Amino acid sequence: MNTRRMRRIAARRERHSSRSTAVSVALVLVALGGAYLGTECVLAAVGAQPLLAAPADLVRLAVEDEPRRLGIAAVLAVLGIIALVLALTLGGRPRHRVERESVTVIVDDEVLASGLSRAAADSAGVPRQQVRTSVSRNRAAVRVTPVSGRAVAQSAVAQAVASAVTAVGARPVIRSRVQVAEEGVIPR
Amino acid sequence: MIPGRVTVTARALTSTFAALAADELGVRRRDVRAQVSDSRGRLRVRIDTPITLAPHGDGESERSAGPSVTDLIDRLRERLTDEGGAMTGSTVGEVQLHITDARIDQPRRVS
Repeated sequence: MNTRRMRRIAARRERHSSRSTAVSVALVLVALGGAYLGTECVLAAVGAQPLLAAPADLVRLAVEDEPRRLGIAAVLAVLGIIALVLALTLGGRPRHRVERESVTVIVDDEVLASGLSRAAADSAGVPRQQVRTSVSRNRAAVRVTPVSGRAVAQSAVAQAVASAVTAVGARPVIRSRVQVAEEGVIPR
Repeated sequence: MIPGRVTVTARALTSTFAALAADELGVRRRDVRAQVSDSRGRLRVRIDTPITLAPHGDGESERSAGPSVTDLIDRLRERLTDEGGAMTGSTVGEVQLHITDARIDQPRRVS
């Protein structure tokens, strides 16, 4: 296996969470249900007392009247939807890939956010704690609170942040947006 | 641009504005209180100060032709906005003046 492929797989493993817990829970539930039904069937076949109800009675109970049928259908539908959501959502972790010549670095989104905050603060001339950045899969939202009496040029900060994003070159690609608050604060 | 950051703290701002006001009105620095806050991204300056007025209408000397209260206030507001803004590197958006006391500046009697 070539190293490039290995790097890709390793990066993917780091950036996505495992779904084995959900799979295990689902399998255990199915196995328990199957075991119970099997037991009842065997008991009925040898003519012994049923544990709870004989298979024939179970079927009759389940389809006896309309509301009960609908109820059972609804429960099954909800379980199915839960399973589908677990299976189809990305299971992504808040991380990005940064690829350099021979290595792939996995960076937590918090780290990216603090780097972008720093770039924005330096460009806007405000203390670091007056910048809040949140990074999601393909978006970075930067919010700058100016110092009262010192206007912040939104476009300059946006440019500084955009070039910081480009310089890092994280994958998946991040698009940044800079917002300057209307109200300022005065540093203590 | 030189890398680095300048932070002007609230304390520095209030001292500057209070000193300016005291100088403009000719009152003691410790009688003047200044506060700064935000006014939609610009600086709001609040000054609590006494004022000193020239005695009015005794017709005795040129001192009686002192500026009126409104003149004093206008000049003070202007100076705080322009000079104060320049000194602190801030845009002053609002000046609130609270005149806490007025003193009549009695001409010294020559004995």
